Amino acid sequence: MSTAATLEAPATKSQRDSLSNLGVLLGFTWKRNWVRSVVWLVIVVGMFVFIFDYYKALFTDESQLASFISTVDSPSLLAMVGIISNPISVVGATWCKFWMFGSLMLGIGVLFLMTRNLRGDEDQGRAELIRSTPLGIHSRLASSVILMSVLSIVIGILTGVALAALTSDPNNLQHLVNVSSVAAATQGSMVFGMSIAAMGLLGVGIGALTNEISPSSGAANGIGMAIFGVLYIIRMIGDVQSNAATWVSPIGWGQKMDPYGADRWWPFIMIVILAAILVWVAWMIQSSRDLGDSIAPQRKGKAGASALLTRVWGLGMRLQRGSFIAWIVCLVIFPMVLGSVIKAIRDMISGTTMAGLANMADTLDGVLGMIFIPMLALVVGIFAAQSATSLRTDEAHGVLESQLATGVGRVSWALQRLAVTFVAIVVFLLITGVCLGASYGALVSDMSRLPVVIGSFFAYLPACCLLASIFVLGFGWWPRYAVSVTWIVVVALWAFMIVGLALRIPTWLLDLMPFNATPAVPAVPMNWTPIIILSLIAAAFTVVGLIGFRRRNVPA
Amino acid sequence: MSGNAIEVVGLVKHFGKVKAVDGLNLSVETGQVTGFLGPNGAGKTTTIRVLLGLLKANAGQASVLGGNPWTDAVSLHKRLVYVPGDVALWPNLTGGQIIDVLARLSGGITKERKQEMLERFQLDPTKKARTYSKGNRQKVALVAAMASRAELLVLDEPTSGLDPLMEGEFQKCIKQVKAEGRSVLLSSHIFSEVESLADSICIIRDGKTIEQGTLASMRHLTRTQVRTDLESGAEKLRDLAGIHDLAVDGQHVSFSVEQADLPTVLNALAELHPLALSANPPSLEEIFLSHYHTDVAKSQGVQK
Repeated sequence: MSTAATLEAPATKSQRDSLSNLGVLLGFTWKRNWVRSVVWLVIVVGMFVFIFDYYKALFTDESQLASFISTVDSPSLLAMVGIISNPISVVGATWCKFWMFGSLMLGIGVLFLMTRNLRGDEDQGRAELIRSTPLGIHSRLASSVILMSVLSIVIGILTGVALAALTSDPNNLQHLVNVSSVAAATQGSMVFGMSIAAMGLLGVGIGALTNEISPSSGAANGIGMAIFGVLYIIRMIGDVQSNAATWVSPIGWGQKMDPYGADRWWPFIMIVILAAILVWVAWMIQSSRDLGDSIAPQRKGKAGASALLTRVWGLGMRLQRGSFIAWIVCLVIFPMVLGSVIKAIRDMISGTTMAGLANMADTLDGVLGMIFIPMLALVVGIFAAQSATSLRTDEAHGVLESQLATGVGRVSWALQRLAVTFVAIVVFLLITGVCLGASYGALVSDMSRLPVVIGSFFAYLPACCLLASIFVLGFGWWPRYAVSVTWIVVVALWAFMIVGLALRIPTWLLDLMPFNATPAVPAVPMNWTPIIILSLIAAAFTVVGLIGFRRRNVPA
Repeated sequence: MSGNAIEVVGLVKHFGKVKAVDGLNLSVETGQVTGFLGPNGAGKTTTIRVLLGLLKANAGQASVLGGNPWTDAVSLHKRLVYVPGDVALWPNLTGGQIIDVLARLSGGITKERKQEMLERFQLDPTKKARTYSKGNRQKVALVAAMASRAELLVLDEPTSGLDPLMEGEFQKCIKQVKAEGRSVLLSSHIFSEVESLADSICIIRDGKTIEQGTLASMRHLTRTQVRTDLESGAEKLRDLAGIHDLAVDGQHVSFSVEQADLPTVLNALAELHPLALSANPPSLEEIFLSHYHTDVAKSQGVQK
């Protein structure tokens, strides 16, 4: 047999070796991920327990629960948090408050961890090093799939066990879980927990696939997030219109496990099968692709740079081009969907007299100003933070040195790159405002509100800039921690907005958060004071950050 | 300060408790090439980063092209180019695009120069940076630097990963740079490269300068290696002053000799009617290694 024939031998021949040294790699993968895994576990399980405990103390009788549920059982919140399982109970309130947020957080977290271990290692050339050892071709994928699946299931079981323990009071079953027996409460709790685990497993499947098909770790995370976004929107359409669209999205399958109600296990099985299929597809792609390669073909590029690219700001735009496109797609789709939901809300308000709606969402301006506009503005804020952190990406990848060794000054470099971020924030707020305003205007056949909606988005410009400036401050003085601190702040703001008072944070402190401090126009009258203060803080953070950047070592 | 392109006196830079550079002296005369040698971790890259204004020195003086590398960074960078030893590139841009970006930020290069260098270094500018090998990544930075007309070239192991043909091309380029009166700081581990290019050499260890001077002046301090074939009389050499490390293996005789004793020793050798004779001045590698070994011996002596 010639050498060539040996090389072309079918993959099946070496299949039994394709997982060699999996055990060693499992240990290694665990070592690299255990801190992050434990943090996710504590956050997800802890938050469910915490919120349950808070609502148990807050709602002492059923009338309070009923009033709470009627408040949140509006189409706008249905769109955000999904179908509420077992509404009139403390667990129902907990589900309503945190299931969608917490379980998707787990799914996306799992996706990120998968990328860190898989495509991230390939990008950095580490995969090459470990693959040069007697390691099977699929061992890396398998070790991440196994570890992340175990993490998801352990989080699900622990949440289930914790809820079962919290709801095991036979005298208070009706109030806590609205079921007739402790056994039913325990079973429901386990279904609840495993519905969270299911979203983690969905992240395993999506992560396995996107890591195989993407050319880089950034793309793997981006495509994965986009898939989650699409699945979220599909279930949103289904939930709001109470139709089968919910069943099209695997996120809907998780909701339809319906703990303490139907207690369905088969949607969980469906998600496991789906995840297994996605992993199998990833496995097949991995069998045939080159290490470091993707299914997208490599193309030749230009032999020279355009005049635009040779400016610092032009380069900044080019480096973020892919990310800009992805954000614009999101910022067109999300407001369009939300705008169309407004009609359902209007119909509901005109058709019924729900007590809870009087609280905040009694007018369309209320829905816009209190819920939709701040939510979408925060999405732009997340972009602002992500775009600003690209400064650190350049430094961490070693390309900042090459730029600063040329005739460009540090402050000039940073300001040009931040100018790109600022202009993008303005454009994105405009796009989001136009899309929400237009889709809403088209539905109510009244385009006169369009300028008001657009103007309302621009009230959040200082808050968005503040998020970017928090990064700049850190970049100047504590560059190694700047990116993580920025993301912690962003996640905290998101959590405050969604979970809010349930975290037992005093109202006055919540009101100080940039997105809460911004006047919720058009629901409330415009107030310039917070706008000016937020702008000044953002400017001060930027200036102080740049002063630090001028004085510090590069790379640091 | 003097008219030297680079002048460093008593430079100190520490990261926390670790002293990366500890009283380093270095000078690059205008229009000359200075070789910068030292074992891994000796502080070469740290020194270069200080000279580029990327790191702030803790003590000592440094001047680059007559300016302060920290406060005058921007204006100085318009007059110098830098090639890092481990070239990091943007994976999504092509080599050609990156060369243009770096060159434009530095002050610009002509299309002809870029094309000439691309051809000399045989680099395909249309490939995405992520597909380049280590040598090709290095070439991207080299082409951008060599295409420029900067007064000063700061090169940190610029040829790591290059094949011998490209290494030769690099040496030709540096000789042209020198002929044009421009200055070069060349940090390198390739002794033949430094020997053939450098007018002056600076050897550092543990963040300190051990020696700086021309290769010729360094050779004065080091022994010449002599090999000869003698039919008889090899034992007479043993008593001769100035001969060290004598080794006799049949006809083959080798020893080392101080430069000052060379005439006397060669006279004595001539009387023994040698069949063959070769005398090699110490190579840069031997000079470097002798410094390295004496330093190791010294530091061990201190510990005792």
